[in-house]
Amino acid sequence: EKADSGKPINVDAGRVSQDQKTGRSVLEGGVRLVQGTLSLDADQAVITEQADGEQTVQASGRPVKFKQKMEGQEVWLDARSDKLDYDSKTGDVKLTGNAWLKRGQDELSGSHIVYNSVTEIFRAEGNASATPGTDGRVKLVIQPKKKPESQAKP
Amino acid sequence: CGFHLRGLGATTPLAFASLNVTAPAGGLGDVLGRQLSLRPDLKLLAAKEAEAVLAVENEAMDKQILTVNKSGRVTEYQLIYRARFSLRQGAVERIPSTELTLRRDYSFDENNVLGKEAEEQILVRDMRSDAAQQIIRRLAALKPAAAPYTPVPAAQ
Amino acid sequence: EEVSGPTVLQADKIEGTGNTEARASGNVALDRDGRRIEAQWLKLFETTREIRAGDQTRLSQQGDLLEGGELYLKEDTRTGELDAPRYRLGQRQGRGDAVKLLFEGKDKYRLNKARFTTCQVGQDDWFIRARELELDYTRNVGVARNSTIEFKGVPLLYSPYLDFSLDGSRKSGFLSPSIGSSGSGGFELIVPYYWNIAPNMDATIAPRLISKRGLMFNNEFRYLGQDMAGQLTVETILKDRVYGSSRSAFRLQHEQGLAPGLRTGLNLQKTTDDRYFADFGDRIAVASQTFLPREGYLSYSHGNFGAVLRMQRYQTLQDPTNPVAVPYARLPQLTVNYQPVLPAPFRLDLNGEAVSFHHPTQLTGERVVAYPSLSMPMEQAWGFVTPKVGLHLSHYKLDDGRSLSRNLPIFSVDSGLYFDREGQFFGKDMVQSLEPRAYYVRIPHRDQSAFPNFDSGVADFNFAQMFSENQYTGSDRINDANQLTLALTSRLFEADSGIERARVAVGQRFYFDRQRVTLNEAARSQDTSASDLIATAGGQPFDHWWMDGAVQTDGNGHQTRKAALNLRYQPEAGKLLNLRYRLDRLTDIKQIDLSAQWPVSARWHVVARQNWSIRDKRSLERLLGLEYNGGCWVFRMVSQRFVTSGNQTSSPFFLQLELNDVGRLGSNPLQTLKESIPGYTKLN
Repeated sequence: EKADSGKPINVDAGRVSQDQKTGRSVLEGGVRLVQGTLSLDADQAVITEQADGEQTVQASGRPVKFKQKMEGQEVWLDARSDKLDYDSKTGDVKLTGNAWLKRGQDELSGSHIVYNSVTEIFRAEGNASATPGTDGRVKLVIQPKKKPESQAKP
Repeated sequence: CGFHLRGLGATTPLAFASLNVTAPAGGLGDVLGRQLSLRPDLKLLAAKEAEAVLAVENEAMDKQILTVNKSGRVTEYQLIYRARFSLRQGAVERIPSTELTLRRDYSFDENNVLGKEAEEQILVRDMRSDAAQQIIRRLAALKPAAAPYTPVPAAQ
Repeated sequence: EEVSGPTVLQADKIEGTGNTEARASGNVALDRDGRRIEAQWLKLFETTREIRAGDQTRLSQQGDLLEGGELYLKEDTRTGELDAPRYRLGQRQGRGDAVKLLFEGKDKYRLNKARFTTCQVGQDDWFIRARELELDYTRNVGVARNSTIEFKGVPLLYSPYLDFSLDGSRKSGFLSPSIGSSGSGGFELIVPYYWNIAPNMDATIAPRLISKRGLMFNNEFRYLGQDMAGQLTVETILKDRVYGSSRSAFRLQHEQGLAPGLRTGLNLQKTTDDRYFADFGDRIAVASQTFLPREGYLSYSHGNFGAVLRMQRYQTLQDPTNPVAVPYARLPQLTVNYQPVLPAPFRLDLNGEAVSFHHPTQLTGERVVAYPSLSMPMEQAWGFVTPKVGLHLSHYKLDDGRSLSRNLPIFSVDSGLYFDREGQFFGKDMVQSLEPRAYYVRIPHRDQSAFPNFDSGVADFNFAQMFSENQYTGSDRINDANQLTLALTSRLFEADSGIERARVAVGQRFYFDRQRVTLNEAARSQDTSASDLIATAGGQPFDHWWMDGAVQTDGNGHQTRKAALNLRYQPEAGKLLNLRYRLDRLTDIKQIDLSAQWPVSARWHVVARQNWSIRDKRSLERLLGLEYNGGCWVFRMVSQRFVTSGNQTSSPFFLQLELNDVGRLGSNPLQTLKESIPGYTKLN
């Protein structure tokens, strides 16, 4: 959610090294980061504080796990990938390498996915030169929507 | 020469003690009912209570020209009687839907139309009784289901 | 809109916003509910469930396949369109192409400027080319508008409206004009029009142009209702140039259940003149009709009680070269039979009949018959004995003022034993039975020479008649009897299933008194104490061989009165040889009848029949035909020549092209082939 970036970040990592001048801190040896509804698990992550208080996060892991509540809906966003880049100002989440994203019931998988949690626009690409036998294509699974009137129920 | 009275000695019992005959009225079902009612070892019951149900699925009578004389007049007809039946014991189909075909020829006399019509009825009754006997012999040939009947895979 | 499963969209690239819209590009595949759409690009609008795809798309579901250019599809209503479609649909894999395909609901398509065939891919032997083609796989009906049928590139038939079955089930598909020659009318053209009025009602209107006679209309109307069914056929020719005036035939057949056990029916047939069927009938069965029934009945049966009220008369078609007696009309006839339940082993049969006989020229009157009988069937596995005693009472009230009655007791005892022996026959466990049977009948003599003959006749002497009390059918003559019928039957049936595989029987009747009651035949001479001897045999001696034969000789077996032999060899469907021999001294018949259906090459099949009268040294029926099986069509060419009344012959010629499942062009020989060649099987 938009409100997350205003919340305190609490971080639990193996090693933390901060560089006050550039606002960059590097976390290694298994990272667990929680900020409001946003939570991130990765092997290693680099967080850069921006001047206007927003942050960008570059994380990598086997895989990186990312979870955040959608803006104004009771719908959660779940993501996993080898590398993940998050920019709280634009709301873009960029997943590279074995990317997998679950939005509510629908699932999207491919080699790299870009998703904006504010505009809900997503772009996914397969990787044509995928290892043989694995279908290098992107896959989107949309669960059947119940009748609109039944959706109103909590 | 090896012949023995049927049924004496190892009298193989019927595969069921009670039977229901479901069939349209006034046809093969009645003949089967009459013949089966003579068997002391079998009770005819309603479908719900009977151990097995013998269904006469349909009966058809067809009349075809058999012989014409030199001026094209029909001198012989052939009656073709077809009856389709099946036997179900509980959930198991002991005899799948099978069709019996019987034929009787009779001469046609143009000056005795009503007489020949009555003769057709005699032949129909004769074929029905013949079909009933053949069906009853097929029932008698069924092995009693000792254990709950496991259908033998149809021999290809 | 039925609940659908998840949608799986795969592609090289997918973009979209939330769950409302997705755009995929690069070997796209969309799977939902067993349906798959493949394309180069695809747009999916989830909220409105619409799909757009291109530039080449391919839709597949179970066996159905649609390929084409741009696709627009609204999934929930299954409506939309596909450009330049190529399709292969339905159980029978009807296929073709078109300029545009419109989806009009589940399994319903409309195609513009389309081609349709049931030939396999790669074999384009025939097409229906239509400006508009509707394929409705919910009712399995195809409709082609402004269509021509093209066979090997040659347009054969244009027709504004044409419907045909998509699963090969409905009537014979579209009915095409039929060209040929039949009966004695010379060249003929029939252009039938099939009108499917409602799911349970249809009509066929067929103008029939007969070169020598004129224009005729054959109309047939069929209906089906709640426990009711019927068919009305009206044929009429306004001016028959050969006959000189209008002629027509009418037939109404109706069956209906009014209430449980209560049924009624009509069978009314009429023609304007006696030679109608001889002139217009194109099959022996039609041309040889002499007595047209006109009857209605009301029948009630409940448990072991049954009653039938019937009104029946016949129109007799007289052939001057062979005048026949006009049968009595029964207006009305009431028959009743009732078997009350008695404690075993007794059985009571109450049969009664009351008839009012009418006739244009002969003596008429009323007759009432009652025949109660008591029998005691005692049956065991090894045999049976059935004594029976009855009282046959009849009373006549004749229109010449006389009233006659005849009451006589009838006594009979039927008995039989069953012997079995198990053995190996044809390499199988079989049981052979030996069933001796004895049937004694005693009926005292009553003089019936003054009695009229409304409905009696001498029945054929066969096994059925041998074991009945009266050798006369109907009720006007009860034969005096003091006779014993002996018969021996042996059956071969499979031990494990009880299926009867072969049967041999021989029987004869022995008379202990001379014959005193006759109808119109001469009585047995004094010293004949035994009837004709009858022997029959039938069954399946070897695989693919069927045989049945019967011989009837005089009492001591010296002189053959009747003989018949049927032999069939049918190794597989479409391969068949029949031999039939018939000898009958009484009706002076001595005939041999050979018929066959045999493949002469991979595609060509011969059908043939020669029914030859040895006695008259002439052919009764000759048929020769060729059938070519083209895989998805069959061509038939059949010529036939059979004798008709008045020493004339009729030589119909049939030429037919059948497009599998879709319809037939030309005159249809199939009914003739089924009647002339027992065991004939259709190639497609």
